[in-house]
Amino acid sequence: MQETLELKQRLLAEFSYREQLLNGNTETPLEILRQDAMRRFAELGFPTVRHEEWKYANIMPALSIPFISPKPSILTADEVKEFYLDEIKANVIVFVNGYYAPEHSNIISEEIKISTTSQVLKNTEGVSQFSEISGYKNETFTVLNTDLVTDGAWVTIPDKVILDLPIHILMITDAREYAPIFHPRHTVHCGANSQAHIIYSSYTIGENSGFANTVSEVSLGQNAVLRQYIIQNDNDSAYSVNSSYINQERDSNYSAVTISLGGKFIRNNHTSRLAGENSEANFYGLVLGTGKQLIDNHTLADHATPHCQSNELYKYILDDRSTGVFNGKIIVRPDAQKTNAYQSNKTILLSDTATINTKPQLEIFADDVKCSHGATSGQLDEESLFYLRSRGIPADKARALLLHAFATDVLNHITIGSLRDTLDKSIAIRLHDEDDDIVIVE
Amino acid sequence: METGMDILDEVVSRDYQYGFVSDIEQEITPKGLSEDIVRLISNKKNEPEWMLEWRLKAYRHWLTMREPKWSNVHYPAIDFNDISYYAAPKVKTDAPLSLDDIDPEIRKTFDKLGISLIEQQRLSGIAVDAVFDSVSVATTFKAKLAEKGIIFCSMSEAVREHPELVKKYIGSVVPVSDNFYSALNSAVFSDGSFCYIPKGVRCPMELSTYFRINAKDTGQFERTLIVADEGSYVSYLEGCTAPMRDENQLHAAVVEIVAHKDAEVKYSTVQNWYPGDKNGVGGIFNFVTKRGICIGDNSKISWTQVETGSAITWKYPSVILKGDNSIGEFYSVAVTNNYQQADTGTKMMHIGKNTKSRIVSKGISAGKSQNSYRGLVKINKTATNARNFSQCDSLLIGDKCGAHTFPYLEVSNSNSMVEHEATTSKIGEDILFYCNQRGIPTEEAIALIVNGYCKEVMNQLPMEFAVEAQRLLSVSLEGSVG
Repeated sequence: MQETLELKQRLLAEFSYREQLLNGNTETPLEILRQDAMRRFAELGFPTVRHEEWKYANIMPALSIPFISPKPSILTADEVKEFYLDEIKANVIVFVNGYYAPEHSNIISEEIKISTTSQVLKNTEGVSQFSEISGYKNETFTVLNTDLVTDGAWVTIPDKVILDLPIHILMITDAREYAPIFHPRHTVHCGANSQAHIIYSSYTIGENSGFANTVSEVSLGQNAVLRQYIIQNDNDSAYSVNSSYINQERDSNYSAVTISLGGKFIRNNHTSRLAGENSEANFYGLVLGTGKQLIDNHTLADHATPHCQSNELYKYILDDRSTGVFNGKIIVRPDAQKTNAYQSNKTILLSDTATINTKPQLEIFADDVKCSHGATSGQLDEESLFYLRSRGIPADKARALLLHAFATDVLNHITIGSLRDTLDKSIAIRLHDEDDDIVIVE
Repeated sequence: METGMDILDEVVSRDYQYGFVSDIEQEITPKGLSEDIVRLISNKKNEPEWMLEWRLKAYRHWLTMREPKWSNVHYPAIDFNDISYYAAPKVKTDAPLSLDDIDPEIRKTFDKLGISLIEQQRLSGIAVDAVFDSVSVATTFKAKLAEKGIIFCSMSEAVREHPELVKKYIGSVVPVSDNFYSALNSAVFSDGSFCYIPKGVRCPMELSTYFRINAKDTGQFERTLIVADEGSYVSYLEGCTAPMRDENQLHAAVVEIVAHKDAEVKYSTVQNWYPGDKNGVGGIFNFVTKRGICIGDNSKISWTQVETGSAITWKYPSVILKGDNSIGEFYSVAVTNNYQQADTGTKMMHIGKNTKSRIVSKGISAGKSQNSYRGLVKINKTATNARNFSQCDSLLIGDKCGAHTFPYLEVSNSNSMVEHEATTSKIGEDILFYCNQRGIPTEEAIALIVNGYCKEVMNQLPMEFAVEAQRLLSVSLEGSVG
C-alpha cells in the first residue's frame, strides 16, 4: 500500500506547489473549484478492487510507476505526421502530453469556435462552464482531472451549423524520456440543430509508460447530432482512463464508437444523461485484446426523461493473457416512461488465458419500458468454419475472416467512409485477414 | 382500466391471510448472544462436545465479521442482542411416537396453514418433518424411509444418532467463516432437517419440511443438510408461512447440499413469510445462505424457488460444479408487493469439465417494491467446454416499483459458452386488449399472462407444490395490473 500513497502524495504535493506559484491569488472561482477538487481527491484516493466499479480493473500496479507531470515537449512535423489521418480532410487539433501544440494543428472550418481549455479558463464565463456536466465530485479520476487539468480542446458548434469536415483531436504521449502523467480535459458544446463529427485518437511515442487521465464533457442542444469516434492505440505499457460525460437535450442524437487497440490498461467510462425527451444515445465498442492488456468499458445510459432510446453494442476479441471488462448500466428514472433501452455484449475468447468479466446491469424504476440486455461469450462457430474450409479456404484464413466479420458489426457504425475503411484495414491486419491471394467477392 | 385499478387496490390492501399466533407454552432463552447462550443452546439439545466446539468456533469468527452492506435492500439496523436465539415448544413426552402424541394446539396451527399432517400422510404420501419454531415435532413415514436406508430426521437427532455423517458434511459446503449470517447460523442454529440418501437409492417420495416462525422476537436459525450418495436421487420440498408481527424478525437459515457421483438433488421452496403490512411495517428479514456442491462426476443439483413473502429476501441458492459433467439449475419466481424488497439470484461456479448450468429467473414487482436479480456465472480455466444459459426477466406492475438486474459473468477459458439475456417490461396493453376482446375479463387475462410468464419455473415444481405456488401467485398478483 506504500506505493498507493506515493502517487497520491506526489499529486497532492504538485497541487500545493502550483498553488504557491499563484502568490496568494487563490480566491478566483477557478482556484476555489480546484481546491475543492483537491480536497475531494485527498478523501477519495485511488480506487482499489474492493470498489465495486473497479472490481476487475486493478489500477494499483500503475501507482508504483514513477509517473512525472510533464513539461511541454516539442515534436517535429515528421514525428507527428504518421498519426494524421491522411485520407480524411479534417480540422486537426494536436496535444502532446496534454499540452496544445498549435504548430501541428490546423483548423479549417470557420463556422465553429475552437479554443483550448487553458484559454477558456482565463475568463470567468469559461470557468462557470467548466465541470458543469461531469459534476466532478464522485469519481476519483474526474476529480483528479479537475484538480490538475493540463489542457484540452474546447469546441463550440453554434446553433444550426452543420459541420462538413470532422474535427480530429489527436493526443500524443511523448514517453521517450520519462513516464508522463497528464490530465486533458475536452469540452464540446453542440448548439441546437447542429451536426458534427469528432474523431479522438491517441498514440504514444517512445517505450516508457504513460498515464492519460482524460475527461470529456459534451453537451448536445435541442435536435443536435453528434458522432464521436474514439481510437485508442497507445503503446503496450500505457495507462489511460477516459471519462466522458454527455448531456442530451430534447430530440438530440448522440453516438460514440470506441475502438480499443493498444494500451496496457484502458478504462473507459461513458455516461450519457438523456435529459430531454425523445433523445437517443448509441454506444458502440470494439476491443481487440492481446498480450496482457486490460480493457474495461463502463457505460451508463441514464434515462431521466420519457420517450428516449439507448442502444449499446460492445464486441470483444480477446487473445493471449488479455482481460476484457464490460459493465453496462441502464438506469430508467421513475418518470422516464416509454423508454427503449438495448444492450449487447459479445465476446470471443481466443485463448485459455484470456478472461472476460461482464456485468450488464439494469436498474428500472418506471413500468412502461422495454429494456433488454444480452451477453454472450464463446468461440467461433465450428459450422461456419467448416463451411468456409469446405470451400477451399484454409483454416487460419477462415478463422480470420470470421473474426473480421465479427468486428465489422461495430465498424459499420462509423459513418465517415474513409475512416471506416482505414480502421477496417488495420483491424484486418491485426486479425491476419489481409487480402492476399484469396479474393472474396462481396 | 378502472376495474384494473380497483383490483390492484384490493390486492394491495389485502391483509396477510396466515397471520395468527398460536398459544403454546414456549421455552425461550434470554435475549442476546454470548458464548454462554451458545453453550446453553448446545446443552439444551444434548449435543456432543465437538458440536459445541464447532458452534463456538463459528461464534468467535462471527464476532470478527461485519454485517454486509452491498445488497440492494434497505432496512433498519438489526440489534443482534435484542433477539432471543432459541425457542422450543415445551416437551410433554420425550418424543412424539405417532401423530396422536402431538400437542393439539400445534396440530391446529398446521391445520390452519392447510398442512394437515393426517391428510398428508393419508393422501399424498409425503413424509413431513414439521418444524414448529425450532424443534421438530413430528416426523412421519420415517419407518418407510428407514427400510430403504434413507435417514430423514431433525438436525439435533442427526447430531446424536449419526454424528459421523454430520461431522463429515456439516460446514463442508458453507464453511462457518463463509459470511456474516451463515457464521451466525452456525453458532446458534436451533434445528433443521438432515437427510442422507445411501448409494443407488431413489427416494420413493418427496421429502418436505415446513418451517414456521412463531414465538415473538425469536429469530429462527434453521440448518438443513442433504447428502445424496452415489447414484441416488431425492426431491426435497420446503415451504413456509408465518404469523403476523409488528417487529421485524430475522431468519438466517443455511442449507447445504452434497451430491456425489451420479446423484441428483432437487430442492424446491415456496416461501410465503409475513411480508409486513401495506405500509411496510413488520415482516420477516429472510437472509439465507443456500449452496450445493456437485462433488462427483455426472451429478446434478436443481434449485427451484417461488418467493412471495418476507419484507426482505436476500438469498442466492448456488451450485459449485466441481465434478465433471455435473449440472446446476436455478429456477426462480420472485414476487414483491407493497414495500417488499428482494435481492435474489444464484451463483454457478464451473470448475469441472463439461459442466452445464441453466438459470431462469422471473421477477415480478408491484406496489412500491424493489426486486433485484443478482447472479454470478464463473467459468474457471479448468472448466473446459462449460456451458451456461441464463435468462432473467422482470415484469413491472405499477409505476412506483423497481426492477434491477446485476448479472456477473466471468469467463476464463476459450472453449466455454456463456449466454445471458434479460428483459424488463410490463404487461402489454395490446395483449390485455386482445384477451378482453375475446371475452376474458382483465383479472383472468392477467392471471393467464402471469401464469404463462412463470410457467417455465412452475413446471419445475413437484405436483404437490405447484398447486400451492399457483395459489400464492394468484393471491399476490392476479389482476394487479392497472
